[in-house]
Amino acid sequence: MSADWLFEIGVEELPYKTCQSLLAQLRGKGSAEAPGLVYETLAAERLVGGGDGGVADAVAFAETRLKVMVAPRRVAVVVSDLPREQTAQTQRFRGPRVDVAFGPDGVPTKAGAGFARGKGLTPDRLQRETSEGNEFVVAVIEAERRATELVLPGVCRRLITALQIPRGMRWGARPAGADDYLRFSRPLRWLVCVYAGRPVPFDFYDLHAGDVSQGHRVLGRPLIVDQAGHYERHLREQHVIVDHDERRRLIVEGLDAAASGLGGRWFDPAGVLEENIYLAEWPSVHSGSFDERHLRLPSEVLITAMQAHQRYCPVEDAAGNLLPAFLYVSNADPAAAALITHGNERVLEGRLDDAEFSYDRDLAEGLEAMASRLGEVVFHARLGSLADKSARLVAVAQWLAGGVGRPADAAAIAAVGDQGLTVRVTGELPAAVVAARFAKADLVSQVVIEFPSLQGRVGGVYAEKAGATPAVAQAIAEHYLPLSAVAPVPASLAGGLAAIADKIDNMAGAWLAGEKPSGSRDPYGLRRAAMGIVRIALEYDLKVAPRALASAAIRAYAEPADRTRAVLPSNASGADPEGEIADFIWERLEVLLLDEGLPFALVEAALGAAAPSAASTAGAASTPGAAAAPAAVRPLPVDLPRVAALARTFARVQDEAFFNDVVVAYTRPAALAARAAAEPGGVAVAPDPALFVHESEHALAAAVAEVRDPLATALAGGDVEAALLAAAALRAPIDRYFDAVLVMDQDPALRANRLAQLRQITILLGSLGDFARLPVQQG
Amino acid sequence: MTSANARSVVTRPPTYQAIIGALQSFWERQGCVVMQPYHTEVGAGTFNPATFLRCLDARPWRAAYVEPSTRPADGRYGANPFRLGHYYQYQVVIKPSPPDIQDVYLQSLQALGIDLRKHDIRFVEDNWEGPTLGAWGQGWEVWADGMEITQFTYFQQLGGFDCDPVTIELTYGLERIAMYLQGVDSVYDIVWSRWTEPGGSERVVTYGDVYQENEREFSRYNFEVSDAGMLFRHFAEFEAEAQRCLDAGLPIPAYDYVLKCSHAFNMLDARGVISVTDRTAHIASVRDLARKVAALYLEVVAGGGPEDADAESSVNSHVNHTDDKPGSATTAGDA
Repeated sequence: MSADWLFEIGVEELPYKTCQSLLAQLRGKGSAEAPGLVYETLAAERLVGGGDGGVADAVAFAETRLKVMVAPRRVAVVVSDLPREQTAQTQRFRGPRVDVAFGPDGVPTKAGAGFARGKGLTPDRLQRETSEGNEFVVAVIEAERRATELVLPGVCRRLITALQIPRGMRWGARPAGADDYLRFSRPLRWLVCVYAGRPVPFDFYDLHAGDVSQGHRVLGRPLIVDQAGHYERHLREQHVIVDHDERRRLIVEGLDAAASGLGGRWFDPAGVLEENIYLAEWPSVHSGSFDERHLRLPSEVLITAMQAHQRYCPVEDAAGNLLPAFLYVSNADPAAAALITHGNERVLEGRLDDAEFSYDRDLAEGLEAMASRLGEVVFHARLGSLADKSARLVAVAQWLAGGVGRPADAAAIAAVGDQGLTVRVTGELPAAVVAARFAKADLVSQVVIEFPSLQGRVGGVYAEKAGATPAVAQAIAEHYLPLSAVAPVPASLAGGLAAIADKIDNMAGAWLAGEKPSGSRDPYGLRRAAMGIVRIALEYDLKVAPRALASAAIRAYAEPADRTRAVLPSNASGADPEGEIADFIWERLEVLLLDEGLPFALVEAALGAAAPSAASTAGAASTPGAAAAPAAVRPLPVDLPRVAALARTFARVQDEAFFNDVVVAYTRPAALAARAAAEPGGVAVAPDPALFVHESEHALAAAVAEVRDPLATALAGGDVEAALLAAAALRAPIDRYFDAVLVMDQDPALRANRLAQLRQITILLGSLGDFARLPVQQG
Repeated sequence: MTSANARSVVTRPPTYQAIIGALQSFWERQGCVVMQPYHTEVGAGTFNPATFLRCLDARPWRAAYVEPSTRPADGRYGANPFRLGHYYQYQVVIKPSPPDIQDVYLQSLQALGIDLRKHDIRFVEDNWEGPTLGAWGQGWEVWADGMEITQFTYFQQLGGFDCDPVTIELTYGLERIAMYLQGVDSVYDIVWSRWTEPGGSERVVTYGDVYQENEREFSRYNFEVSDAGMLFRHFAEFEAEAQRCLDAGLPIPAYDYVLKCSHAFNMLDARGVISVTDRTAHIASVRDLARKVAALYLEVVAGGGPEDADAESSVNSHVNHTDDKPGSATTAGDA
């Protein structure tokens, strides 16, 4: 025996993000790990689940029996086939030993009678079980099976109070008899609980649950829900489509039809469709138009004016040109659309008039004049003005461009550092520097003040109008990209460099101001910024070493071009901001590579190329010659594309014999090289051949000398596979060496010399990664 | 007058003053104390003590009034059809917020002649923060056919104090509603009043007739002419006087000086003489005063504050009540 259940929470108009969140919380993911609040709450009351089929049950429940629907004024849960009472549950409680519970005469003792009474049984109903040679009494109790309609009020109350409301509000007066206000996203106004065709009345704060729901605010009337199965139909009769998926389908169909009626195609860069689903209970889509003269505005401005506040969708023709039209979703009677369209058109006309007024004022002022006002605008209370920031961006962009370019580019990069917006530049590198200087100017434009999301793009338009070269204008327009972990990166190298400069400046600033991200706190979106740096570096194969980049950005704060504007925050967080920022960037690369599906161990090994292992640095500090070691054996600053190439190549060749050879050739010496730290006399940078005893030591030294150059050349050329092949040649001499040589010799001089040789190899192969993080297969 | 004439008169949209009149009588019928505008410049009806002070304590309160909103930086020399340095709000506050307040609000739109079945009225999420008052709330902006006509806010905190009970505040944008009802595209074309001369000719006075010259002159004054030195001096003097009132146990006079501080700050801001850091500091000092006023008001005037829901009769009883409500200094995230 089972029956259907409806629970509806009636509420004043919910924010759309709350709608999405409540839906996700109640429905869960339909999996055992995230069964959702409805399942969890019913399961806790033994109305679903039970037995041993927990996993399958949660999945099947979500797929076949649960429907959660959210509309602006209501959250509804419909569950089919809910049993008429709680499912059976047998509980066993072990009591005292039988000889304690009963006397020799079989009469219950005080202890036995007390145990039985405590479990609600008479002593004769106690059962027995044997455990480890002792016989105990056992109370076997069938849990009470309460009728479902008696359990549901508690379920409903718990569902409301268990919902996470990020910024709950209070309303009215403190409810009588309650300790505190009920908090919710918006005021609760009614509750409907119907089970098996009958209302399940209960009180909750000031509300009385029953079977009366509310229709559309204007077009509908209150209604009685007689059956859970009739709920959607009854509401539809009162002009409410409660199922959000159905509303989405209706709106998309309406948008398609309206756009094709205009001979165009609708689009929605700001994602207002999802908002509109939760802004109307009776949606219909209509089109309006605006005066063609507004088409002189940049399309970014037009689109934002339509979308940002009004939640309209723009329409474009087959060639991608904006039409002087918009589509909107109405919650009113579709028959009244003519008047409503007129109203919406007037609102949009006003907004476009306003935008045009601002746009013309901006054009009259010009981007260079705006840049000259940046000194008046604070970037951050402790980090100076936007003019300071612009100067730093120029310095970092010059550093970046210098690192990326050839020596021949250096003069052009240096020359544009203090040039105006319209300087003729050839090449992306100097363009990036000019763009960096004017990238922030549009922040004081009227249009960006009105539509902040247009920052950058508006600057690009104004740069072009002012006569900047196209590369400069494009770089300004693109320097906030990518806007998310998956959004496009700048489409030009100049834009990419300007974007990296902006992002690393934000990161350095946060660290210097003591506001670095921690845990879930990342108010400046620096994880996204770091991911942007990684993605741009990979896209353009920019040999950017995170630590060097962080140093350049921090240097720009500490030694600004204009010394009178020096920004020296006093409360820098962390003793080693460069290192922390570099690690922060490496972590993003790790996330990116793991998202590509690369094995964790291989990604870790590749990242090891950037963080010298303990083995390769052990004992180095005690070695006077370390700082002056030959460049070829010192780890080079490792850049982002290098590590990505390492990880991706490892994944490709991981099953090849030569890859395993490299792993063995690294791990055998590395395991011992770490002991260099324990040498009281220190360990030299390179072994002294005069102290070699075995032929295999000479052979290994010769092999190292032979491998060093081809390895470095291949790596510098980005050919990781060739570098691995070169390194694999060390496997055989290393195996022979370990067969013949006892490294930890009694003689300290011989021992130190052998450790020096092993550490040298660890450092050399460590430029390919830290293979000690991999499981070794001998073979 | 012929019946045809009579009909055309009936179907004409209401004048600006008729809109105000309709709202006054509608909210009078809802039991509101119909107040008059405050005598000191404020940026919004929320600053009027009938809202800020009266909504702090536990006593029930219903009030409605027109409030001139003075926002010097928003002036556009009378040249922009939508922006004004001085305009009107119609403000309604009811404490505690009634359960049917949205329906009552919709009835008020009907009272203005809006046929709800022919328009698209929406409640769209919009939360409110008033950093200078240490105040915030949650609610909506109300749309009529895509135009924002009202701000609808459940106050959660005022002066840093939790609102208990919770007040609902409705703020109608009178010019927007008039433009919407009258179908005009410029605020200056709003028909303020209309009457028929004895000879039968009709006379119309527009919003522009009444206020366009004011907008021109005050924009020029606020942006170009005002004496920044005097305003800085006034700010400091008003701030000190507010503190003196607080020290004397007089929260209502103290609040007047908070309002004067706030206006002086707005004037300085429009004049463009406040740097960004100054700005933060000035806002912080106004907020600090507003918090102290709120605390003193709860202590002295309301005779107990939110905890004491039966304090109806103790308006002037000078009960000393130390009310350490939590949260008074924890709204930084909302500022």
